[in-house]
Amino acid sequence: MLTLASTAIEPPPLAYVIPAIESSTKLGPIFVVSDNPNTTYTFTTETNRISTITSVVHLAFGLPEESTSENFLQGKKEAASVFHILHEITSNATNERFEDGMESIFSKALTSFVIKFNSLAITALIAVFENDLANPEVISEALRTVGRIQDSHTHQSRLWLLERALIHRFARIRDAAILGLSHMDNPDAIASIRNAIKNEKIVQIRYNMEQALEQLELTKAGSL
Amino acid sequence: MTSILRGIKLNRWILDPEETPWLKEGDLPSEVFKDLGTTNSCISVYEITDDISIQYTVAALAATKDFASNYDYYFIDKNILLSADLKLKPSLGETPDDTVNKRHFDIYELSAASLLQLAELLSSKGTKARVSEKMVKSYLTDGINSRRIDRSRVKDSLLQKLGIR
Repeated sequence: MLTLASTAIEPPPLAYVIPAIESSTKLGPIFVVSDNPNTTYTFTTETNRISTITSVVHLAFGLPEESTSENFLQGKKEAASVFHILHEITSNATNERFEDGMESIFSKALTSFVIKFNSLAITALIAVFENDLANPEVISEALRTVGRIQDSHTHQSRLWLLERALIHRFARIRDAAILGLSHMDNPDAIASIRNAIKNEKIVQIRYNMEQALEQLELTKAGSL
Repeated sequence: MTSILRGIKLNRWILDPEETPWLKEGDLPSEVFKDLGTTNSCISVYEITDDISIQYTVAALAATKDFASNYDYYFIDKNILLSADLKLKPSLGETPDDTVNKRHFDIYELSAASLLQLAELLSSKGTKARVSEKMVKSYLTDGINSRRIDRSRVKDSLLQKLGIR
């Protein structure tokens, strides 16, 4: 049983705490959806193992605005279910070999997942990649796939996810974000890419970012 | 100069101290071997000459895929491989461009040690590059329209995404 042990700040009215792997002895991945991105939560299990979650997924998409007990529980149940499905999809992909330009079992499953669960799927993806709940190869493929999905309902949230991934601590995840954004070809990402270039320390990634920036600027110029 | 081209996923070859802080200087992450898969101790490469450019080769290789994507590759002076005692022999490629297919080679009799040597040579003496998805689409369209690439051997899914019926 996972319980909220203490918080430096009172939890916000909407906070979903969803342990993906819950047991009495092991604290599994935790997925927190909150309307306060700056809050730090501390959790403990029955065996007093403590984990501090500093990366809180900002409540941005798709969850109920009013926290009546009924929709809170429904939202919690749905979010948990979505997260479990994503956890399964990413776990199954661990041994898959990915190749540029080729569909993979993972890319097909992820595409269906995003189209089915829309923004909640994107929120779950953020939790996975910001908390390193899948290996970098799988996360990279996920970001590339996210950029390729043809679905206008999730366009903005997918764009937001990829922009956020531009500052991930792993270079190949930042590179995958660039590839996803290049495919989306949306000039709205120009400012984020410019910022990422300023902070990018790895020459090859910075070059790839500059190439993508050039492409989006051309797209923007062409649409004026 | 005659060069040798091998398709890769570029981000597997990027040395990232954040992800692999344990990696010693001059060493490579084992992830790179995913790009150097062998069959019967052979690895497939393409020769780039004055006649057969990187553009034609990338287009031919991209034409074997499900959809147009960026194409990452290493290219390296052929003589560097030969002077390292890596053995190359011509064998027909399997792309929809028969001219490019004639420039296909196998690096053969590869042991585990020589595969590592190949990885190190690519990393230290080769040049890695990326052709963007937009450019790949342009190369593919050009190759198909000029009939260098046999469209009957290109997957329907790719033709559809290129807007070619």
